[in-house]
Order: sequence, then structure tokens, then C-alpha cells
Amino acid sequence: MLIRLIILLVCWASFSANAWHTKEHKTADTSCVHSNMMCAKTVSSVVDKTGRIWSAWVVGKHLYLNYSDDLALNYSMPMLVNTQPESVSTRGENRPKIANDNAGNIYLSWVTPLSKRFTANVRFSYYDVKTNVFSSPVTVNDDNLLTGHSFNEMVVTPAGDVYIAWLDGREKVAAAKQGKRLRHSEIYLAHANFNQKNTFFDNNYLAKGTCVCCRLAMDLDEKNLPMVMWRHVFGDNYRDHGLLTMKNKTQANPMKRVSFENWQVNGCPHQGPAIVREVSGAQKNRIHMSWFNNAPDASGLFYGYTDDNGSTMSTTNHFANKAMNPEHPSLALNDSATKRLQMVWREFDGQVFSIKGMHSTNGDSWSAPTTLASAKSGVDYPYILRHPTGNYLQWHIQGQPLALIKL
Amino acid sequence: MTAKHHISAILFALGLSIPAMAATNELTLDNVEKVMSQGPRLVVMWSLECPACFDEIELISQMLREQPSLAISFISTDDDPSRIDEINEVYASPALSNTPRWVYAPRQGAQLRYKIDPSWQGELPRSYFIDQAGKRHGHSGLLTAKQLAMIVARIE
Repeated sequence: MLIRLIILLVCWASFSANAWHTKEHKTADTSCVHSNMMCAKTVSSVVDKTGRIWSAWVVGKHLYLNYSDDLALNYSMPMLVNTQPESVSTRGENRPKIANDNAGNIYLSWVTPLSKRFTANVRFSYYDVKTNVFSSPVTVNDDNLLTGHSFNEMVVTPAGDVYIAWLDGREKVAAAKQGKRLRHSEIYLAHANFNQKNTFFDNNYLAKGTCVCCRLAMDLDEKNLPMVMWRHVFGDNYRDHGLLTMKNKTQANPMKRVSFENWQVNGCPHQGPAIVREVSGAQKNRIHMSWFNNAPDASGLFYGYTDDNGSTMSTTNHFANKAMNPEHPSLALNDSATKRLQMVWREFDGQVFSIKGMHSTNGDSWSAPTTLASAKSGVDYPYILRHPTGNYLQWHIQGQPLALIKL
Repeated sequence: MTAKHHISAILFALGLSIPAMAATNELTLDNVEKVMSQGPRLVVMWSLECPACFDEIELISQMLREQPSLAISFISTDDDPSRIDEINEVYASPALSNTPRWVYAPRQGAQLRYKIDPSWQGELPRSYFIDQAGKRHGHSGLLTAKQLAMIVARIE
């Protein structure tokens, strides 16, 4: 009887998953004109307190939001975020961002490329879970200039303070008027709070001299102020990483250099870092960081932590084999005593993409890496979702249903 | 019959031909080895997502205006077929009219990168000087004037 029940349950689970996907999804590429989640090149997800997984994804000129209450086996009907069509960047690291607050409201930020090459605006919409309404999308950058505003990142405090940071090109425009050419970008930060009806995004300058083509990484500090990590350009094109914390909602402390591999390249690494802060326990406020670098004698992925906001760094852990093209590390904490800190990244051996993972209690030592999933093509960057039942790897391949793998 | 066809027909009757418009060719796992072993030649890898690549393209375009016969090829690493118009827009520059131009086959970016050079981590611009023997010498980031001068001397 028990076996029959298990078989029935398995059949039901696979049927319900398949039924959804055959009903809602056709094959990728050829039929990707409607709200078909499988057509999405990238998927960005966040989990709320109830375990509901909210996912944002793009097909055509529309951003969609839907949710799953059963660990991505079944998804709700997609909801259209932007009723007016607009281009939405959904490639590599330049993809929509999603976050939530303590009340479960959903925050979405994305980049809309404009007419001229390397120009874009940072856009935003807020989904009120009580009223089931999206706010009209707004442009976050306030300079009204046809210049670069991209690689947006977003964090939201439990109370709904939303912070969006991005690589900004307004100084390039100012320099061009004086006949000068800037080859770096600045970081700008915008703040609003929709729960408090403060829906105007103020724009504040944070830093200059950043690499122009890598994502930022953000988390919140103890005071719920944002922290930003990014690939900076030091000296003569040494592309290492900087970390900054905030004095208050609008003013930044000076940047601290946190990586020292000295990769000198006058070009685009296309690989940004990852950051997560310990919010409780013996290592409270420890900031864990991971990044890619490619200096001649220091190529691969790196991990380090700081207990003093970047003033001093731990010993750097160089991991992942350069020959395996390791990329895009993602870090997350969870409640497990032995696997508190988890890291995943993507590798490619010439034939197969693999998502690798390892864990640590405090960052001082790490487990041996294991292969969590692999496929021959189309494997998206890995992200860790923090779910009430434990952490999951978001496993995404365009053309296939999204899957979660327990870490 | 279009106007272009009329002109073609007249030129054909006169024993002349319209210069062929250079096409963008697809770089595949089957042809990449051949493309990347015919030296001496400079191969410039670039992407629509790489601002520095456009500096490199501009620099080399300037060289090609002065010396159109330089053995230089371009490869776009954008393996997304929806971007082909943007790629062709870059290739439409008159300075590049005589240069072989390539684009990665759809969704083969990682595979092609690995086949070209397993030690290359994908940073751009990336250039390869392919010597007479077909050996690849890779460089990441913009080529300096000195490096370019050395390469030009070998691909003239």
C-alpha cells in the first residue's frame, strides 16, 4: 500500500509538473513570443518567509513575475510587469534583479538599453502583495542623459528601504563636453521606500574609477545600510576589487581594496564578485566575499573575508582550477551549523558545464568541491536561494523548466 | 527584377562583375580550427558587450584604411542570433570591407572559446597573432601601439 502511494505521489508530481509545462511551454527559440518561462535566457528569484519562490524573467520586450509554492515544480500564471513594451537586458550578469521586504512585497529592477550603443536606463517597479498591483515602471537614474546606466544591483531592507546601485556614465558626458574621454564608470546609489510612500529615487554618487563591464555585488550592513563590492581599476589597469560601506543613506565611506591578485588587463573581465554578511552568531558582521581573477600567477576563483568592513582581509583562498574555466561564484548563508556558508560556481571542461559547490562553517576552511549538476549546453549562472527548508541551487537552462537542487 | 539585378545583368553582359559584399560567416566547432590556424594573421575577438573592444576595432580600422591588405580577421563572440543585425552594423564599416568577419555559432560561446584556447577565460578584447606555422599567440585587453606595430610587420 505504501509503495502504491509513493508511486502515485511520484506520478502525480511528474504529471503536474509536465502538465504545467506542456500547457504553458512549447520549445524555446521558435515560439518565444509569449509569456513562456522556458523561453527566458535568465531567471532571477527570491524566496519569501512562507517559502514562496518569486521569479522574474524576460521574454521579448516584457518582464514577467510568477511564483511557485512547491519548490519550482509548478508556477503561477505569469504577471506582466511592464505593460508598455521595452527592451530589458537579460544577458549574463546584466539581468533583472528581484528582492523582497518583510511584508512580502516584491521589488524589481532592470536595465533598458537605449538607442545608442552602451547607453541604458535603470528601471524599477514595485509589486504590492496586498493589492496585487505593480507600480508603473520608473527610471531610477535621474540625469536624463543618453549614457550608460547598467549593471544594476538591488538590496531591500526588511522595512522596505530599497537601494539600487549601478555603473553610471554621466561623468563621461560631462568629460566629453570638455573634450576629454573617461574610460571608467562611476557608481551611483538610489534610495526610496514605497511602504512609506517615498517613491522618488534620489541619486547619490558613491565612487569613481570602476571597471565598466562587470556586475556589482550588494548586501546590507548591521544598520541596514547598503554595502557595495565591485571590480575597480587600480593604477595602470589592475582590475581588483573594492568594497565600500555607507555613513548614512546617501554618503559613502572611502572604498577599501579587498583583492590583490593584480590582474592587469585593459579590457572587460565580464566577471563581478559575490558578497554576503553574517547577521548573527560568533562571526556576526563578518563579510564573506568571492571573486574571479586572472593574473598570470593567480587565475581562478578566490574567497576571503573581513571582520572590519574591508580594512583588513583574511588569508585569500584560491580555489577552482583555471583549466576548468571557473566563473560566477555565488555565496549564501543558512541555518545549518556545519554548512553555514555555501558557495556555488560554474565550470566548463570543453564538453560539459558543471555547477560546483562547497561549504564552510566560518570561511576559514572549506569542504572539497562537489559537482551539483551538469549539462552539455545552455547552463545559466548558478544562484543560491535561501528557503525556509534549506538552501537550494537555482538550476536553469533555457528551454527547460527551472529546477531547484537542495544544497 | 530589382535595380540591383538589372545592373548585375548589364555588368555581366559587359563581362564585368559587382564586387562581392563581404558576408559574416558563422564560426563553428567544425571550422574554428582552420580559421584559427591560417597565419600569419591577426585575429581580433570582440563582443557587443565590450566597450574596450570598440576602441580596438577603431584602432585597427584606422590601420586598415591605410593598409587594406593587412591579414586581419574579426570574430564576434556574441553567440546570440538575435543580435546579428547589431554585429553586421559594426562589420558594415568600409574599413573592414576586405577583412574576413566571423560570428560565433548560436549558443556555442563556451565551446568555441575552449576550442580556440582552453586557457582563455573569456575576457575581451582578445587577440591572437597566428604565426606562419599556425601557432596562436594570445593577448588579453587592448593591443598597445608597440604590439600592433610588431604584428603589422609580420602580416603585411
